[in-house]
Amino acid sequence: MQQDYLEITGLTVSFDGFVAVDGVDLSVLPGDLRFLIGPNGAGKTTLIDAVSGLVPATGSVRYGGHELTGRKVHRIARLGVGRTFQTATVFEELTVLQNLDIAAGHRRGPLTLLRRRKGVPEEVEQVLETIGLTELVDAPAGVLAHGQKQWLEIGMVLVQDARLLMLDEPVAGMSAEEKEETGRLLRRIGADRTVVVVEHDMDFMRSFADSVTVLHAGKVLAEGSVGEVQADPRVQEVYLGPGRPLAGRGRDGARGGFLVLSMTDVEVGYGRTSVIHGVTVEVPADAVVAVMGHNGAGKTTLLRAAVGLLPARSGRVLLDGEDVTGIPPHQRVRRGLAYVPQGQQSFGQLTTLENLQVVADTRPHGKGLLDEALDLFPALKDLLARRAGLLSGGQRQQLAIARALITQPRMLILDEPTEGIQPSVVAEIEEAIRALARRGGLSVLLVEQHVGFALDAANHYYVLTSGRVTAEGRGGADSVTDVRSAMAI
Amino acid sequence: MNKRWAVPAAFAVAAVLLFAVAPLALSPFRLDQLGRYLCFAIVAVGIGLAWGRGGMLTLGQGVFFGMGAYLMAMHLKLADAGPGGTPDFMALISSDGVPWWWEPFRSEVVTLLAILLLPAAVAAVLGLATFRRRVRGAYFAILSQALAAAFAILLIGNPTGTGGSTGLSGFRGFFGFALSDPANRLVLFFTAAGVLLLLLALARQLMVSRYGELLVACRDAEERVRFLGYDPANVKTVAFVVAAFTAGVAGALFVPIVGIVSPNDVGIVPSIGMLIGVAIGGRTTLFGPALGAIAVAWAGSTLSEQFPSGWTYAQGLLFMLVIAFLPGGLAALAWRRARPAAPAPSAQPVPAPSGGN
Repeated sequence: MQQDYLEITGLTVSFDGFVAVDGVDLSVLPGDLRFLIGPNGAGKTTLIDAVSGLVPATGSVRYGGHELTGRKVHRIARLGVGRTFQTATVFEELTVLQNLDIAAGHRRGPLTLLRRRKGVPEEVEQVLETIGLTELVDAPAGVLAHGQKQWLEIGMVLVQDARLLMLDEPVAGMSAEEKEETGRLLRRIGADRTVVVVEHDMDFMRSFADSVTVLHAGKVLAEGSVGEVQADPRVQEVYLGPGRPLAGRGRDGARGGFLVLSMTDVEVGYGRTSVIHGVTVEVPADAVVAVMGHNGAGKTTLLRAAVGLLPARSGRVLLDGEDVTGIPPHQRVRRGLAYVPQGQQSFGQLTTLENLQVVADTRPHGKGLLDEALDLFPALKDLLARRAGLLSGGQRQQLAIARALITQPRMLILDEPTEGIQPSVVAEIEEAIRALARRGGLSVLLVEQHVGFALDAANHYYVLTSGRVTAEGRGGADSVTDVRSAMAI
Repeated sequence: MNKRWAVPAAFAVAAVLLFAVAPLALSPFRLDQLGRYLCFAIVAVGIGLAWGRGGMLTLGQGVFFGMGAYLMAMHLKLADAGPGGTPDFMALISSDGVPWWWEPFRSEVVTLLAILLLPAAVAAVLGLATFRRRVRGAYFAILSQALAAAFAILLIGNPTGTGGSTGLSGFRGFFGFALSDPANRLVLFFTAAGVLLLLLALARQLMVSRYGELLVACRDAEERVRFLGYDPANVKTVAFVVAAFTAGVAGALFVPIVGIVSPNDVGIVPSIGMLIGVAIGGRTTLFGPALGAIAVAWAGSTLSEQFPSGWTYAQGLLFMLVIAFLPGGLAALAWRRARPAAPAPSAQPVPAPSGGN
């Protein structure tokens, strides 16, 4: 037990000459719930990758009396090091039980492996209880909601009997109650284990962190209790942005009554189950409309139906007054629709500039459009030569939106543009969205978990609960209470 | 209840069909043909495991099939030549006598052991070497295909040792039994049928075991498996070895049933041919690969009797249609009909990664 602590000294990771982690020293003791925070691109995830053996690093990582650097991933895992991923990685075609059973089993011998599983192993049963998925034990992991997948992943690390847990943004995309639940779970499991949590959610950090390490540009910027770190002026400077309040700016009203996108009585689903039941959503010209709701409420499904990735079983989808219900996605794109899915997809092997040029080259005035998009996201100008795969989450999100804008859409659809992104970049994205709406000629439909951001950006909001619209109203900070109470049901 | 008995019932039906109905209903010629299809079905069982469950697109199963086949053919030629004798084709083209590496296969025991162990051992070495280096996906497929090409070229380049491009043929006996006797041929057919059922049972056990779940996990998220403390290279190698083992056994049965083995049976084209049946039947299922392989081999023989050159085109077209419109194979179609609203997730092409909601 005494030796079960993590000690990192002089850890350095570089890709293509770009130093992502630069001589980091860090020690974490068991029972100390350590949060690792820092701006996008600070090297938090890379640090976890280096400790778990995913990327080669120099320097030293010691845990439980073993040197971890230079060992293979599965050998490090066998020493009791477990981790989760930013986007929950579970075996989607296997059931919850099978997922946990596999996680519990790396010590099993060949004979056990070749036999069929009988019943539910005891440790799996306990963890099912802990993560609250007992009732979903036979459900395929692929159908779980986002938050449940995150819990399943944490559960997998627990049955693996890891003593050092590294969790990469465990509460990204979770509702307030789910976050609360997750925080308590972390407290419980952290009592006798060494737990490191990478997080962007400041409220969550304040509620549950025992201690905090702030990374910036690959180096440790500050370390200490939550209060100490928050009071540190350097941390405020790099992380929270120089005194930019997030809420309380004026909004532009929607101009004109013409609807760019209208979805009427739409019903959508997968297989036999319907996820969306007769939803009507309207996006007027030059307006920003936000759709909010818990995980599993059907927000992404609604967007996928708007884009045409999922067919509407009934109801109509109109784009610029024209019926596009049966029209495939690429033809909707030609009619002025752009979609930025969750998770900031980009061509990882291409540079930032190439990512934008791929789209710009297909347009007659591509160069001008490209420059215009870069003006909206000035942060990208310094990153033009970097491969997109090396950008941080926030940078990739900006790139994805910029790329969508080059197609000159009349209707821009954004799925959780702020998920897992630091506050100062959220402010930049919000600023860009408002600038676009002011300029005219573009409407935005966005799905958000971040109620403050969504209402601040939107002229109109809808709250989705279990596939139905349960509340709607005008955007703006005044509606925050209404939305919160509608979502509390 | 229904589900529990479905698989044993399917095995029982298959046994009745193969051991009772087929010998009564088919002429000796047709039965021999069916025996040949069963050999391809045996290869397909292994491919279904490695490709369907393990995600390894094995485009070079001809190598292991060929190893089994040539080992058996060498023994049969030596046995035909009598103790210390030289096989007829060798005596024709050279006077050096029997090469040293043929000698061990005069022994029945050595031959059988080699058929069972050699393809598996080669696959183990190859599998560990490639999977440890994290070679996968298209790169693995290309590598395995190149191996099949190299193997065929090696066979053609050594006419004194392997009969060159004409291969080995004209076998008279099989472990002391005359191959011309219809009763012995029936026993040979029963052997192939029994081996097929046995290997299907082995595949079934692997699929429902914890190992089977682990294999699917490796297929879908190899990196994640690594973080749970397993070495995916070992997991995948086991499936690859089993696939090579089944291919080797199938090759060994193919030789006495068909009476000839040549580089045309082991190169790139036959290797892909072994895959087509698996894709059409449904690569992730238990019976799909074997049934698909039998169906494709049957269609191939029947059609090429009538349109000698048309079959190759039809085969290619069928493969493309299945890959494009029915990635789960015909099994997925049957599945969908049985439960219209619950399609297998793997059978649905997903246009873009779905979000969390």
